[in-house]
Amino acid sequence: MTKGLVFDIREFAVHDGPGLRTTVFMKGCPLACMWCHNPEGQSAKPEVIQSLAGSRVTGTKYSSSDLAAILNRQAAIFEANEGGVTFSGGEPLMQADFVAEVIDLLDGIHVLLDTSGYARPADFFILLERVNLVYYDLKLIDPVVHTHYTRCDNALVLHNLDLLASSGAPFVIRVPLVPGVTDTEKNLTAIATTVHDLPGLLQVDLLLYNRQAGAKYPALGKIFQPDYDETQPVHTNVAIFEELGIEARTMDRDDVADTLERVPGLPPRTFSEALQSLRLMHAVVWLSGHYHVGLGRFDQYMWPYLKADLDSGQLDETRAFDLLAEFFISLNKDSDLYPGVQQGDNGQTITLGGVDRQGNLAVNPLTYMVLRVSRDVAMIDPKGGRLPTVFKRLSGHSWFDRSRLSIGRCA
Amino acid sequence: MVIPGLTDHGYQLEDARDYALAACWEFLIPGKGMEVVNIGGVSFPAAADQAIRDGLRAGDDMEGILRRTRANVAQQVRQVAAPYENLLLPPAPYYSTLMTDCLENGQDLSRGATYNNYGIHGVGSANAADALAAVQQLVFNERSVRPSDLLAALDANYEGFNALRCTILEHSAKVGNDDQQVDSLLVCLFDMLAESCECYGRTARRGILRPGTGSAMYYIWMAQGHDGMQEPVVGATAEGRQAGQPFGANLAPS
Repeated sequence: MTKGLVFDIREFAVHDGPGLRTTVFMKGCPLACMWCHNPEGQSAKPEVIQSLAGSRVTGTKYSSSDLAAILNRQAAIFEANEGGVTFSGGEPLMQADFVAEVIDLLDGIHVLLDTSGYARPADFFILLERVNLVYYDLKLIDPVVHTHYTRCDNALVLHNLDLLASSGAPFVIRVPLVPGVTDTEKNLTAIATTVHDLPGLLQVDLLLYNRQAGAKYPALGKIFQPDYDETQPVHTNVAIFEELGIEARTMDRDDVADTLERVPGLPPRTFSEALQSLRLMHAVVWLSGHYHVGLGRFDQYMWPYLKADLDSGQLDETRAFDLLAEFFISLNKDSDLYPGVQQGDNGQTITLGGVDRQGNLAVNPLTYMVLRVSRDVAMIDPKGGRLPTVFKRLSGHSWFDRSRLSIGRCA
Repeated sequence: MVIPGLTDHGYQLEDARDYALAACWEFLIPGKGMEVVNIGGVSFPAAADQAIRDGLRAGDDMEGILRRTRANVAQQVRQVAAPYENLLLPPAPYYSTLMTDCLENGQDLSRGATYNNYGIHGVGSANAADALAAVQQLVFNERSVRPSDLLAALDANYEGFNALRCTILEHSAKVGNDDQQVDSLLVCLFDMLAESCECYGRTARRGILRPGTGSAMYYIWMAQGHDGMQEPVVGATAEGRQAGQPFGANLAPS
């Protein structure tokens, strides 16, 4: 049985393919992109990371059955949230045999391969016939520039792209937008021309430059040395692709950036900002040493924001449900901090309904939405309930009547 | 039930209506409570077990055993609360900004808010009620079990007393079956806890002790022991439970 070297397994990924996914980052990459923001993914050996938090080794060896077992435990979550597993890196094709073994052991889970395309065609084939979707990176079409920025020629990448297209597998082209390097009109036009008539192409994703790309280098004892100006604006030229009939989108999150610009420093103006503000403030209470922090009367303090957005038409109900679901998912993330016997019991309770301070019925549409999202997201970690426990608060007036205090779902 | 319960324990009606749940199920008033909702648990099974063993040895009647149970519950309440008389909380500047009280009074949360109560959990109530019911029914009413046999069986963790254990498990009344007699023993246990909390009076933080019905993790800890816990652990108990078996959680049957 093959062993694989993994530098991270991230649960609850929402940007690494459709639905809710777990991304497995395989360690080792043949390329050395100047803008690489995961430098610990480059070396195919375990490395020591020295940071303020102390030192740790990055790179864990897994047997294919152990890794498959971890992923299979989450199968129900993937299914409920139309997600699956994404193999990323590093370059997963460098460990193609191992990844193939893992995939063969998965219980019918949707698998996405996120690759640079720089690999032996034989290795690419091994995985191509096993995955449901491919995210394929195209960085630069000019071979000289490609070699300068990645230390590898791109002939292999373009060759494998042809193999991918002729295989009939569905794929997405991903272009990292590096200012002044890959985002030039010349390069983007060349990419559009290369891919526009390929069968199987679903769309082109333009990935915004990560200005924190250099953040991890010092901890690895490496030096981040871009020869381009990181601070110049990135050109997100979607039109170049659309003119050739290619569906293209910019994978930036201006909305997230705008929200974080605002909250929690200033009062939230929208439901989305209010959720983000709550999440941050809640996390900070936790980080400042108060463990087991409940969320209080969520439907009471959140409803005014949601109502305003719905009334103004800024938000429709579907999007509101999505935001709520995202919030619930985020509460499940990195919150397994409770040291008691009930593992995963992190105290994130929500109190719903009831009466207001004057004794009037306080059940509102958000009350029901929370119950519905809680049911639909069905986020029950097999290692212990990590779902935000929802308590229905009693009300003497409604369908809560006489049921007094009933527990919706308990961790 | 909750709102009147809170007003009975000194909460203003408007505040009581605004209650939210602390991270488990205890009640808090958002922005106004510097409450420690779980300072510990009272082990009802330990209180009842000690009373049953001492009472049967002393030739008590059922009343006597219940009196002993009451005293044991009160004793445990005092033990749980005592360390909190010297509670020193570190300042919590960030948390304070989220509290209405602290902002209005310009005072850190660690110095207290409108409500500064402590909560005590009553743990293993169904087990304790069942144990008392077994004694009441089999030893006193039916006289089918001799006190000395029950004491010997408890000491032996029911090893060699299988017939007696089966009798207890199958023939004595259990909480949760709409049996007035045993259910009233359950109520009686919670009344003892409430009474003991009331008798305790004000704490050093000017609050009261709030009796609760949750068992948190204590239904396991108090049955099996846990590092660093003060609360008494029991061996075999009179409802037929052998040493180490967990108690029923919260208000669940034994």
